[in-house]
Amino acid sequence: MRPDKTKKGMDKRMKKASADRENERSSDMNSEVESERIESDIDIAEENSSGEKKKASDESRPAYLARLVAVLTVICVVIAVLLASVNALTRDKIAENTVRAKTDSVLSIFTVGNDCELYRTEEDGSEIYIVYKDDGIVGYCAYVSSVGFGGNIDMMVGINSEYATVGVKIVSMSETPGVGSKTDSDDFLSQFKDKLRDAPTKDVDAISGATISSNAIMSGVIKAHAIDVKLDEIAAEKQKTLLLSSDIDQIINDTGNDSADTSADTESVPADTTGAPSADTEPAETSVPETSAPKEAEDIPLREQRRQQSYEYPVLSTEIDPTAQIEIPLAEETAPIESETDEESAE
Amino acid sequence: MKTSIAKQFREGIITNNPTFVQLLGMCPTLATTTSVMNALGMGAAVTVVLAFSNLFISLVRKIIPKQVRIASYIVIISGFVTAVELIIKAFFPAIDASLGLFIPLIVVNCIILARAEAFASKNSPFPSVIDGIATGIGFLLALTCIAFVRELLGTGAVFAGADGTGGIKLLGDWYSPASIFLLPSGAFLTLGFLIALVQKISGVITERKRKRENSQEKSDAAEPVTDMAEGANE
Repeated sequence: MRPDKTKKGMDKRMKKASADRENERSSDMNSEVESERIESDIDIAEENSSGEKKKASDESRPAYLARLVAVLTVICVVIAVLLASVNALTRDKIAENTVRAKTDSVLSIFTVGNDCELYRTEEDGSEIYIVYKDDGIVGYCAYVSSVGFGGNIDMMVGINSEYATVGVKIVSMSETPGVGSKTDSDDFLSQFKDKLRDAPTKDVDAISGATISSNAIMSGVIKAHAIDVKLDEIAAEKQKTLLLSSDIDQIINDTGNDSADTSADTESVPADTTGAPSADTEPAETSVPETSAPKEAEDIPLREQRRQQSYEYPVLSTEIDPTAQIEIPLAEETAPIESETDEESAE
Repeated sequence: MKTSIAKQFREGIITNNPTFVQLLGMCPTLATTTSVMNALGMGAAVTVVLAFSNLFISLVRKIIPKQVRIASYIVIISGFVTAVELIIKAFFPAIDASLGLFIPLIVVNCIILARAEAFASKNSPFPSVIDGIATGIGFLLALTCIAFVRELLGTGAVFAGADGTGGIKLLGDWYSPASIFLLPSGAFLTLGFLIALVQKISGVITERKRKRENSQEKSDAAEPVTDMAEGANE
């Protein structure tokens, strides 16, 4: 066929070339319909052969719309393929990261443990992790979520075999920085330690100015305790021994903390000053809030001591006679008497 | 319209800096500059997205009809942002934890759409990639400057890790940290002062250049031919 050298012919050829490229790309579309559209495209080109831009009326023609749709579809398909491949490459690693973050938080609460395992998942999304130390079960961690001020607060609550809280660790929160985020501090979270199942938030003070965040964390801890986990049954099922806190204390002492002069079992609860501040702080051993006054060393089992101690109010010294007249003391005696008075008035 | 690579970099980083000159992408700028590591992570993510999206958009610029170009650009940009987000979640989980929501928000960062519209849709692929990288590096440096000031004055230490610990303490214990710099109001203050500083410096430089050119013209006009050597030494 003699090549058509007129401008009309050139336009026709260019249109055909671009339409051909488009045809290849959208080959999944009905090709018969495509060729019709190519014809109408060429018609449009002939009308505009003077070089004018497309008029609005032309843009509404179905041919042009079809081209828009085709281009968008192709771009979307290409991007979808790209995303699918990136997802396939990274999906396993992301799941692994999530699991590792949770495992790390569990083991940071139970520093004595060396392995943990997801035991079950509740319907509301909470998860229970059993913490092992070699052949024994040290306790369990509940991964719970509660509604805070700026969104959900996800936390890990560690509970030992006496069903007392061992520690609380915030996994993710989006509270107001400087206000609600203050609840993610040791000052606040350490208040939950050693509180038992029936009163896990007794005497816990909220952070002033961050009531909602503090309440959210408290309700999370309550939720964690409310999950029914029977460690005895689990120990039997997994054929491991259930380690009590006394056993755990023994393990810690055996691993060489400098507590040679104190025996772990019958030591009175709060006065355990030797091993407490060391970096290897134990799960069930207590760093008791200082409001409870020192008790006399009694020969009762540790579990019983702990249980009593939660409900303990500061004990007044019995040497003060409440009915005695308080005399204005001489200068030397001022200090001790005044401090005793403070203790009384604070009660 | 061929500009050299060096000139493109100079424009992206200094004369046309997206944060200090164009004032684009303010939301992530203010939100992620609480620490230098966050700023570096955000800047790196935006640079990667800019480079790839500019490349891709430049490759398809002739095919996309004018009416759907914004929609196509958004699809392409969000595709790359999602890919970057997945990669960060998989290989840099610490950055993911600290930047959180702001990585997917890169999609609506004005800088990326602005460069796509202004440059990538009109130029060939290689300059578009260079422009993307230059703009991204400009953004990263701007963010780092702001974050350095905010973290230094807000905590006393810089380069703290993603979990907030282990920075280089530059201000001693005498300094009681002004935590307002970690809050949004401090972000605005820092940004405002830095923009003023940049504008002042660029104004001074422009003024000096203008004076030099004026005096050069005067000396040229006075003795047009014989003082060519002096004019060259100016």
